[in-house]
Amino acid sequence: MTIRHFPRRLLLSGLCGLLLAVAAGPGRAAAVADGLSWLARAGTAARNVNYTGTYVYSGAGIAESARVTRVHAGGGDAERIESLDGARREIVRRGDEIHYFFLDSKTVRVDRRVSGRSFPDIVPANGAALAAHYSIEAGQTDRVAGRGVQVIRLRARDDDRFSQEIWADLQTGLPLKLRVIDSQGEIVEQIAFTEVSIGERLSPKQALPSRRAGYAGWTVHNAIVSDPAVGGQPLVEPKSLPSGFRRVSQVSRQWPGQDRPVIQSVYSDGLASLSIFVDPDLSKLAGHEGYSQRGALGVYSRSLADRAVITVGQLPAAALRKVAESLSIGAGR
Amino acid sequence: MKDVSALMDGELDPKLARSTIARVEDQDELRAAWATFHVIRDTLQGNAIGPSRFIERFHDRLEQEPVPVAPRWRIPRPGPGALALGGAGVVLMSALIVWMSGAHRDTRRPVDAPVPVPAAVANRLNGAIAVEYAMGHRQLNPAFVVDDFARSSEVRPPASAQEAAK
Repeated sequence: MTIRHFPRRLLLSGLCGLLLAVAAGPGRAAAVADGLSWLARAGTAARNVNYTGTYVYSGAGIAESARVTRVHAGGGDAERIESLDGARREIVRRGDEIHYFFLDSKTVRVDRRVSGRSFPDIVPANGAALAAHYSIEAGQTDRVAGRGVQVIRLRARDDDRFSQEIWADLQTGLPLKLRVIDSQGEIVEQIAFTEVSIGERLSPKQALPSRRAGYAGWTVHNAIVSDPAVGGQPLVEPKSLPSGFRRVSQVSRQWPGQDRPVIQSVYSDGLASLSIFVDPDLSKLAGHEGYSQRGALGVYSRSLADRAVITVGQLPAAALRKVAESLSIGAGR
Repeated sequence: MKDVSALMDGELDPKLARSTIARVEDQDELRAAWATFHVIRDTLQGNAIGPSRFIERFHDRLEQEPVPVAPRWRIPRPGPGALALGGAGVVLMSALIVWMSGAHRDTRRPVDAPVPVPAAVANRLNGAIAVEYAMGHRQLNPAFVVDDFARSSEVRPPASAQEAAK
C-alpha cells in the first residue's frame, strides 16, 4: 500500500484560514482557533484512548446500533464492533487486519483495512490541513451520551463535499457524535454514542471475537489484499477530483471466485474519502450503469472499455458523478 | 470443508479424522482451507495486541498452497433464475429493496442515470453492486457490513483448478 502525505501547503492554508478569521474579527478568530485546537484534540484522543460503548448510525431512513470496544496495548490497537440490530455481525480489527464474523450464516471474511478511519476515529493527525477545504470553528457546548461535549463545525468551502459537525468529549476530546450535512443544510448521516465509557483499563481480550471456538462448518472468505501487480491491467485514473483529494492508497483485492484481481484506489481530502474499484468482470454490471446512495455514501457504477468501474464515496451525488465520468484508462504503472 | 473445520475443532471421531487428514494431504483445495483455518485460529487465539505479521504469514501460507479456495460470489441476475434464489435470495432482495428505497428518499438532488434501463432491473443490479462495494469502502461501519455475499456464495475451486481437474 502506498501512502502519500498531505502536502505542507495544506498546513499553510490552515494558517491562512486562521489569518482570514483574524481579519474577520476577534470573536471569529477565537472560534476558529478553538475549532482547530479541538480538532487536534479529537484526533489525538481517538488514536490513544480506550473506550467501550454503544453507538447508533442513522442515514437514508435507517438506524442501526452497534457496540464498540477499542483497546490500545503494546504499541498497537484492536477493536470489536458488534451489531445489535438485524443479522448478527461482528467486526474484529487488530491493527489493519479485519475479521468479519457473520454468525447467522456461519461465515468469516478476512480482510485488511484499506479505506482509512471510521467513527469515532475520524479526524486525521494533520487536522489543521482540513482548513483548506472546510471552514473550521468551535461551536457551542452540548451533551452527548450523558457527557459534556464541544461542537466542532467543519463547513465545506465548496459543493464537492459534505459539511460535518463533530461533538468532542470535553474531558478527553474523543468524538462522541458525527453529523454529515449537505449544502441545503439537510442531515444525510449521523452517528452518535448513546452510552460510552472512556479511558477505562480494558483487557485486550475484550476486543477479541466473542466466539473463541467451534468454527466447524463455517465458510471462510478471503478478501486477500496486496499492492497492485506491476505490469498488470492499466489503472483507471480520474481526470477530475474535488480539490484537495489525493490518492492515499491503492490495493489489489482478490474477490472470491474471480481469478483476476479488483484494484481499489482510495482518495481523500483528509476527512471524506472515495474508492474507485476497477473490476475486470464487466458482467457484474449486466449492461446497467447508474447511481445509488445510502446516507452520505454514494455508489456510481459504469463500464469503461471491458471493465466495470465502481466509484464509492462520501460525496454529494453531483461530485461523485463528476469523478466517475472523468475516469479514463491510464497508462498503468 | 466442514470436516476440515471440525477436525481443527477436535470434533471428529478418530476414524473420520484419519480419512479427513488423508483427504487434506491429497486435495489442494482442502490443504488451502486447512491453512486458512489455521490463520484464523491463530488470530483468534492471539491475546497480545501489537504489530502482527498476519498478512505476511497469510501470504507465506498461500504461496505454499497452489490452489486458494474461495466461495463463489454470485450477483443476482434478472430472469427465471431469480425465482430459484429461495429464502436466502428473498432476504437479499429485501435488503436491496431497503437500500434502494433509502436511496430514493435520500438522494435530494437526483442524478440522471446515464443509460436508460427499466428502473426495477437497474435498481436491483445497482443495489447489488452498491452493497458489495460499499462494504469494501466503509469497512468498519456495521450499517454497511452485510452478509448477503455469504448468503449468495457457494464454495467451489476457482476456474483454473476445475480446468486442471479435467
